[in-house]
Amino acid sequence: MRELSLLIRLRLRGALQIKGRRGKKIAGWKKVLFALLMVYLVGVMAFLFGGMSYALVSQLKDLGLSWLALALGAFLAAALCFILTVFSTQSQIFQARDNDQLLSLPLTAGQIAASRLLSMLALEYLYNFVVMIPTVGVYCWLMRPGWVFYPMLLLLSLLLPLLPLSLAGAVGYLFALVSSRFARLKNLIVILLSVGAFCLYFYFCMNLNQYMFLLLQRGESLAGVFRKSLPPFYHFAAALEQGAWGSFVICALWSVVPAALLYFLLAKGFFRVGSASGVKTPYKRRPLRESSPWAAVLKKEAARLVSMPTYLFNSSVGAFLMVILAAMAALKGEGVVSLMAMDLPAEASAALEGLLSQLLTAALCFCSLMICTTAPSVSLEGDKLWIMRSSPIAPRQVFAGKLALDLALLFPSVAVSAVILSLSLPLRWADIACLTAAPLCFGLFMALVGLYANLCLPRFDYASDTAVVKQSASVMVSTLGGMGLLALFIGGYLLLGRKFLSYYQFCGASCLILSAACGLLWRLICTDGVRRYEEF
Amino acid sequence: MSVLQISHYSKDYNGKKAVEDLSLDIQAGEIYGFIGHNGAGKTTTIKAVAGILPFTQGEILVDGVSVRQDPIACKRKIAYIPDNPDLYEFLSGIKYLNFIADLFRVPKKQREERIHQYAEIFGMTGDLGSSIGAYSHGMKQKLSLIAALIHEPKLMLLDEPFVGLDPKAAHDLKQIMRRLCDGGGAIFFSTHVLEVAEKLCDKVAIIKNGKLAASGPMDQVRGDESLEQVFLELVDDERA
Repeated sequence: MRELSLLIRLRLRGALQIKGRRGKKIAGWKKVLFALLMVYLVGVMAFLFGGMSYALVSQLKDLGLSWLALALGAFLAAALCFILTVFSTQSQIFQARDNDQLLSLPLTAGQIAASRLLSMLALEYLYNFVVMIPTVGVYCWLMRPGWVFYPMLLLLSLLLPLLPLSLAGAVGYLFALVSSRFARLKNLIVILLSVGAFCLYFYFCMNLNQYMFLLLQRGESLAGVFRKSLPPFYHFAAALEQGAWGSFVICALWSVVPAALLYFLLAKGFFRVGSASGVKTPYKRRPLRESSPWAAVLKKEAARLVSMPTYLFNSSVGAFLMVILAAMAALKGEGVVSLMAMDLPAEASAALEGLLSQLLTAALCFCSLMICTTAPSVSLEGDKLWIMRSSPIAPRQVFAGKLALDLALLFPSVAVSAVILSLSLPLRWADIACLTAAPLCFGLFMALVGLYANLCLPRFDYASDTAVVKQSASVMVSTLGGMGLLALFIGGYLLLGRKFLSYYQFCGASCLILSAACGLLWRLICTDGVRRYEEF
Repeated sequence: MSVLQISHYSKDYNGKKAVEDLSLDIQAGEIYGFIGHNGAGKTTTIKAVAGILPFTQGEILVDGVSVRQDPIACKRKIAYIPDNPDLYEFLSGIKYLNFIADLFRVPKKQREERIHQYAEIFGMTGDLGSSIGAYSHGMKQKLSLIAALIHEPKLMLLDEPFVGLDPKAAHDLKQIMRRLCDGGGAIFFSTHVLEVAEKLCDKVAIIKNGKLAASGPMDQVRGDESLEQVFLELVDDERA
């Protein structure tokens, strides 16, 4: 038990800690900033899921189907856990870097397997609670359930995340197996799967209104479908709403049995996956291409981006999103406004009609802030930082190479989107100029923010690249800071700007402010950023 | 002619001295060994010369150019290989070498010639198309050696260069080191293998707890004893 607890603590520390270079303690203000960002993130999630739960429970309780809100909440929580865990099972379990080291220590395979599963489970509880606390909180407020509800809820909340963990483990294993057999196609497979999953999610979100409508119209028959096709979530809700112990046991078995099976197979070594590192490619001598130093850095950064599907997907999702949005707008015409305002109340939605250009510009700016390859780019140098540091290349050229990669994604996606939108919608030249210039300025500013944030908050002592790409402080600062800044601009326009300026004037002024801020930020990177880089 | 001049170099980490008042002078044509116990300050010194680690006091000149004032010019003359060659595993061997050649602005013709010349010597030609992630420790070490030689450095800084190399590669490396010095270059390397240092080095420096304990021509430092005996006596003095 002592060894197991040590291993779990080690893994959780690795997953959650924020440290500076050479294990230096992070400053108090950075901890406060990080805590505020977390509160903001949890607040957004609580608002989203609480709102959804409120809409569902208040509509469905008269039909006697309020349990559907609980079932749907549990399903969404499990889906979120699955999505956030499946890509890390490979690095955390099957092809973990510390496999050889741990196996050489006096530890049993069962202890190693248990430590990995339990530390991933701890993170799943975190994701699960973010969805379930607002969902169940709203449900309790509206439905006032009996006392049996609460102990059952506690037990089932502890058990249910075992199901997505097992599923993520199984899919992750298949994934690792395919990767090791078809090593050269590994990244392509991961990218295709990620884009496929993303398109599916996007399609689901776009049709959410329709599903809600169907749910209310044909609640009874859809409840039947839910009961038959997703039994663990149905029994979760049935156990809680009706206090049915039979459903409680069935839900518990659905959670525990697959997890026990996964643990057993891991402990017995059935899931040993051959490393993909043994693949050799014959070398054919070809003429080499010369590049300038910063272009060489750009090419190297691009190679890293396409070699890491998680990095590619996390930092470039905005480029896909932008083009999809433009294509969707082209297909739906001016009806895209009502689609974009689908979650707003009817009055607010009506007020947005006629604001096509403004809404599209805001949406493109939102997509541009989701393109940020720079935020983890310094941390990703990790143990290889010595290569750049010992080479005759000035730090600003290194930064320029990293920045160029971001712009190589931003510029084409904005250009393609602008062309699609200008050809398909009745937009004036000034509108097209705004929806091209604003996302470009915003995207460039966020790329610089990401780079500077990473120079201030680097993380080099990581066990998995995924931790840097998804969980590092610089990524969170740039993503959430970008959202805050966009909200500030939109709020500024709606509350103040439009009283004094036209939309075009406001857009032009915003672009000028952002361009000036970009200049200042680049200067800061070339002075303070260089100093920080040289001290790593 | 001095290729590397270290004068009164000191480095501290959070007020704690890692290296104190170290001075060395390495002439063209010299292979200079740098030995010391673990944590003595060898890697810290080598990294400072390579321009990776800022230093607190003193001056380091590479071929007459100050590392502090013009690090880029110094780095063009230097090749540095760390003790653990962590390389970009997402690149193939040839792409990594081409990347390094780009950073050092090596003309196309020369880079092609040198890459294939050294790849042949180290038996790496057939592996250059593979991803570095597929390389063994020794292969990574060989690749970083080839990368270090592409721009024909004036000064090679090697931190434990023989670790992980097979006997043939180690032999080839020694010959390359000698050839580079015969061509007017210099080599400054750290090692724990005292037999290698004794046979290969023209001069040697022994560092103990961040301070230079002995330095000079090998015969002079060693006297009538073996290098191992001299080193152990110095370490024992400290313990006593």
